[in-house]
Amino acid sequence: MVILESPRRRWSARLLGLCLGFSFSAGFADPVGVSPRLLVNFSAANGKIAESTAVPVEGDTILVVVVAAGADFSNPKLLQGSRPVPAKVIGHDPVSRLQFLQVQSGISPKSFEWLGDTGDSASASLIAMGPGGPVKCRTTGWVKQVGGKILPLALFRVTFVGAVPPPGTPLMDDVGRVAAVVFQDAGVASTGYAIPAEAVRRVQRDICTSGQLVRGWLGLSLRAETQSPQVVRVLPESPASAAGIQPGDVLVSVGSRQISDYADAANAFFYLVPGHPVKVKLLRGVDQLEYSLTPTRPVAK
Amino acid sequence: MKPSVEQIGSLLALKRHERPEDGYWQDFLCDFHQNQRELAVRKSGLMSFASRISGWFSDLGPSKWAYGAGLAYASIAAFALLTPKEAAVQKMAPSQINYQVVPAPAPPAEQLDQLDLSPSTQGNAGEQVF
Amino acid sequence: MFRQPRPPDPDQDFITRAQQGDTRAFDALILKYGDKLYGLVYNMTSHKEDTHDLLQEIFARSYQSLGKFRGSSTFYTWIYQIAVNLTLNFLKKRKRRTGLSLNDLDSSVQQDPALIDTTHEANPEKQTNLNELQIKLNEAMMKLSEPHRMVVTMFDIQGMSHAEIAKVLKTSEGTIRSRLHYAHLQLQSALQNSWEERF
Repeated sequence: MVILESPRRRWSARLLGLCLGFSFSAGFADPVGVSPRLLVNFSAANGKIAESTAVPVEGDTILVVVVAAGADFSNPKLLQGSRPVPAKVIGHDPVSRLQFLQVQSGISPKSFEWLGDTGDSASASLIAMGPGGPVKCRTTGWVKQVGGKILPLALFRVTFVGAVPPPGTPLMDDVGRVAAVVFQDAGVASTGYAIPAEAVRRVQRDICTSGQLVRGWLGLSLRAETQSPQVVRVLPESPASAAGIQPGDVLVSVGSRQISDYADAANAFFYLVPGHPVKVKLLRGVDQLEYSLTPTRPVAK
Repeated sequence: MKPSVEQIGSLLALKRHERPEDGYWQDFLCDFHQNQRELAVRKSGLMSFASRISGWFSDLGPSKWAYGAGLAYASIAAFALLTPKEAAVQKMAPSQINYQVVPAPAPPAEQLDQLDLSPSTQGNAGEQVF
Repeated sequence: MFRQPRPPDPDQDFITRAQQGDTRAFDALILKYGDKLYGLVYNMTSHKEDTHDLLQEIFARSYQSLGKFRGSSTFYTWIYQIAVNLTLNFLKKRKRRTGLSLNDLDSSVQQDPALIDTTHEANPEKQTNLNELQIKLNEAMMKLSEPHRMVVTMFDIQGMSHAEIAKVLKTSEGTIRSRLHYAHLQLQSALQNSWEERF
């Protein structure tokens, strides 16, 4: 687990060097703006254009973008500055609103290193690689629900020095790894929401292999309106029933994620991968138990 | 690192000594008495209305009997009119009443299917299978 | 077999006098148990005005019902139960009110995220001050569900035994232990980032 916090690092000097390094790499289309940035335009309602910065994901010419709510994700226009670049849609995930594109010709984006796991700590100093240059920012917490509505995965709340950069803008840690990408402007006080790197990688894993996100399924249910993440039902012939989980069990942790409420559980379950075992700790009465469950593909209703 | 359960307990036990500010209970008792007086006035208001009605009857003198009889007649007449006559009531065969208790249908599972930060009620209620 | 006689209610004298209309006797009961009930209600609501209003209602309700108090439990247990029930009802209503207003968001207007989203509190600096720890603990308490917060308040803060809590909440000691265990785990997790070696 990687902790983002590094209060002792004087990252500003390092980052300046990093930015300069990015700028002068041959054949590199960086999102910083020193050379024309990669962005994608989507058609939105009322003839408007919804824009997202396009960020290379590790290793190849695949880009990730964030599709604004209500925008038409079927027809993205990839641009380098103002120059159109041919690209093919690999896949789109409607849950996270992430879309992955394959650049077909004309540029070879340098791949960024992405963090594998941002850890539980939700406070980190980062640098947003905005269109106008690097922007200091800081994550100030996890957002698990908005307006009483629980999100399918937790986002970072981020405060920026200056305006919130557009969706898709990568937020880098002090060694130049992408920790998150801007998801949406919160509209107040230079604050926005960002998708953590591990969520992007989780979606990328499936989209780039099968074109769609395939959730890991355990076969247990929770109720959103109850406070504690207590199992309501265990479906027959499910990984949960095979492991011995019972209705009434209270989830304590799923994998490395501590669970304190339903929203935490919803977030943890987002990261389950079919066929990949996960340790689940739970409370039954006064006993703390631990099970290893292997999620399967979702069972058709 | 995490605090131990004992450490949590010690921290919580410190709250045992929390008290409201000085003079709080004197003010509280004043408010309490005031509320009880207002409640008593409200209650006595209803009681006095009832006693005024009965007082009106007793003040009528001999004519109270006429009023009383008239009131009684009106009540009986209303009862007679409203009660169905036995002959007019069709005797129906007792129907089979099934008192089977059917559980209320579970509320629809509201599944949040999109990372959407705009307000809606989706995703805050219902059973979700994971 | 002969049952052991229950010890007399220490408040019997006040109760009898209050039932006979002596308001000063009931005042004495308010002063005797006020702080304890204040602690219960305030730790559950975390709101001074609400605590005051609720306490007024608790004592008013118990005063009005004093005639029906038959002594099957002590007066303190009886009034404590009234306090628990009224507090839980109040919190349910308060949650519904808050929920409705938060849902009333215009989708085109982004609200202050501090008002509309629920986050883990970030803690960039390590806590070194006991007051700050207490603040974190209070925040963590408010994040517990009401049943869990209730048992922590009664056991850890007010020092009641499992048996006493079970009696008041009309549930089993096993349930109380289970709820406490879970609540402690949650509080441990919540204070993880704030904890320092010397505490």
